[in-house]
Amino acid sequence: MSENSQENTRSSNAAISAVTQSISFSGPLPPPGLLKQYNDVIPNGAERIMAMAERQSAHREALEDKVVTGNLASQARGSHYAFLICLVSIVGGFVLIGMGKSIVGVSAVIGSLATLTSVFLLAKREQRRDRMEKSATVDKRIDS
Amino acid sequence: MLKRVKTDFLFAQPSFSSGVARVIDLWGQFDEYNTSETPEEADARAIASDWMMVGQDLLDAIERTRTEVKSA
Repeated sequence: MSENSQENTRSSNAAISAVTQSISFSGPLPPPGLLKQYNDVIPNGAERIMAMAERQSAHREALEDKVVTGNLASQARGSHYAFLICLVSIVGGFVLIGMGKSIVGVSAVIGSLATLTSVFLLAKREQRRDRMEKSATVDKRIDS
Repeated sequence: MLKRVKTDFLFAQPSFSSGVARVIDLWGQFDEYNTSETPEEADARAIASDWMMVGQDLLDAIERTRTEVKSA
């Protein structure tokens, strides 16, 4: 066997003996080994990351609390304003009917009720879309 | 990249328009919630969602640390 072919055989053997290592991890939390590796890179890395995650959780919870509380207040305002506007519109409509302006009065009453019904249907559809989207995201993450 | 999970997945966010809709909701038909087939499934989904949130926070912290280490 020539020297050149021996060299080729050696290099192909070396290529065959190369080991490919792949690690996969699935779950809601990152693998513990990943945190451990940070200890090698930065002093006290894992503990610092855990502390940061705790701060992040507290910050997220505070934000969520503000958003939900704010949205609930906005929802209450929506109810109060809509009630006042409709009350004025419907009472005004009946007053107009009493004054003999039946067409305008009936229009005001029916218009108010129609607007409320439309908002009800649109808001319900929007809420359903929001709920379904969130539910699908959770299910997708559980399945993955 | 997977979509971020939200902790309030059981219900939709309240809004100004949902408040307006409530004026006409005299029979309590407006509110609906994400339900599960069984109570066990509901518990499992809720627990999984909670841990996913913890995992997201942890991954965010790791990502931030990675950026800091790179920039240092």
